[in-house]
Amino acid sequence: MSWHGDDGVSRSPAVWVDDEDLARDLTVALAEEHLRQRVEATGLGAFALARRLRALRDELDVLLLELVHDSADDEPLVALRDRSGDAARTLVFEGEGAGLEVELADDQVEGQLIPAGPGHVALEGPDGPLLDVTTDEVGYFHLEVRPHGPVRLVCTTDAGACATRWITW
Amino acid sequence: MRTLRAGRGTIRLVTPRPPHETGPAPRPPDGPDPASTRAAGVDVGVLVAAALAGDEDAWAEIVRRHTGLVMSRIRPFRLTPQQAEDVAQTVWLNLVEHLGSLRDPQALPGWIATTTRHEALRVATAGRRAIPVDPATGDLDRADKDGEDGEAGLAAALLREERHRALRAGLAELPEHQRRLLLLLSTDPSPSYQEVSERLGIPVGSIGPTRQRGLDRLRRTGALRAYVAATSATTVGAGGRDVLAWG
Repeated sequence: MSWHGDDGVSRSPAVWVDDEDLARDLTVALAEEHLRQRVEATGLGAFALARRLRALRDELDVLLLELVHDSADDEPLVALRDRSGDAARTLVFEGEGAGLEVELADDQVEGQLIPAGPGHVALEGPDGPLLDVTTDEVGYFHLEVRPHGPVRLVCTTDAGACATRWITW
Repeated sequence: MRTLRAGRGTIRLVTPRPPHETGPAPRPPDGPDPASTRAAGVDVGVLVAAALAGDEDAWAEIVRRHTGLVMSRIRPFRLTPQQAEDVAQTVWLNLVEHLGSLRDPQALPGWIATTTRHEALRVATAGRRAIPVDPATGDLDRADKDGEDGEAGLAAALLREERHRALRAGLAELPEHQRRLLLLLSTDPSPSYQEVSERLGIPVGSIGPTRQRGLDRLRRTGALRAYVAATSATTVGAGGRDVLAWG
């Protein structure tokens, strides 16, 4: 489609060269409207959502952990790869003095608190906590779960609380 | 600008934030009232400060301004609608929490573009989907190219959004019989003329001419004329070239 990609601003898309151009663009405009509305709706809702989740934590001072490694970024991209098998995805989150390593498989999450030590881990979705678990004495945890959509992990230890950034499952 | 990989800084999720952490003080006494943040001309820095102070209208305006950008960064990955929506929600949720650490509000479009593209790439890669790759270069098909995350990328996304909005508005201006025909022909995959004839109760022979008259009329609707006039004024003027010649 003529203008399906990202147009450079210098090339004016203002004029449709012929009827077919116009008709194609109209098709795209109509097809995308529904998704656009949903994307906007999730955005409008995100503000209140974040506020509610924050309130659930009693204004706790929560350290936000950034994603510093994602095995999904490592894999070489080769033509029309159709991966099969149950390879897990490894994520590493880090913040000031705290971190978290997790392995996501289809129906479970395994993880390790850094530094190693006991704590509590909750998996959170946009609508609130999905489930939680107490780690073993060295900070290892295991959650049997198969969520979809945005999720994050919220950890509580003697040192404080931290939450990973949101990722899309 | 923070990127996902470089982002090792810490962000305290404490509310309310002290003003000195968030740049301009949220809504100073002589600043705009919340309602005015809906106006298109309000500076993004003002919106960010107001959103940090808890102004949901300001946040909504930030979202509306950047929805087209988010869409444009998700689009190349050909995700399912559900995946696309999930990626968008992840981006927005991260943005809410990132706002406070945004040193320069002008970096917002770049942050959104980069974050969205990475998130969409991850979903495309982590899932068991075939990813379209340009066989000549081995590049992801248009998907992971840098360089359009700044103002140019945002401008292009907004222009596209504006054009599509005009097309939908123009369609609504058409007489019923032309509007219904164009709507039906715009479904993907488009139906055969035989199907169209049956569904709309019009002769096959009249479909082509009605479609053409409808498209002609669409071009002349107020919505499309206003769009073309506004766009031509800003993009053609300088070189003095006829935009028609650009194809």
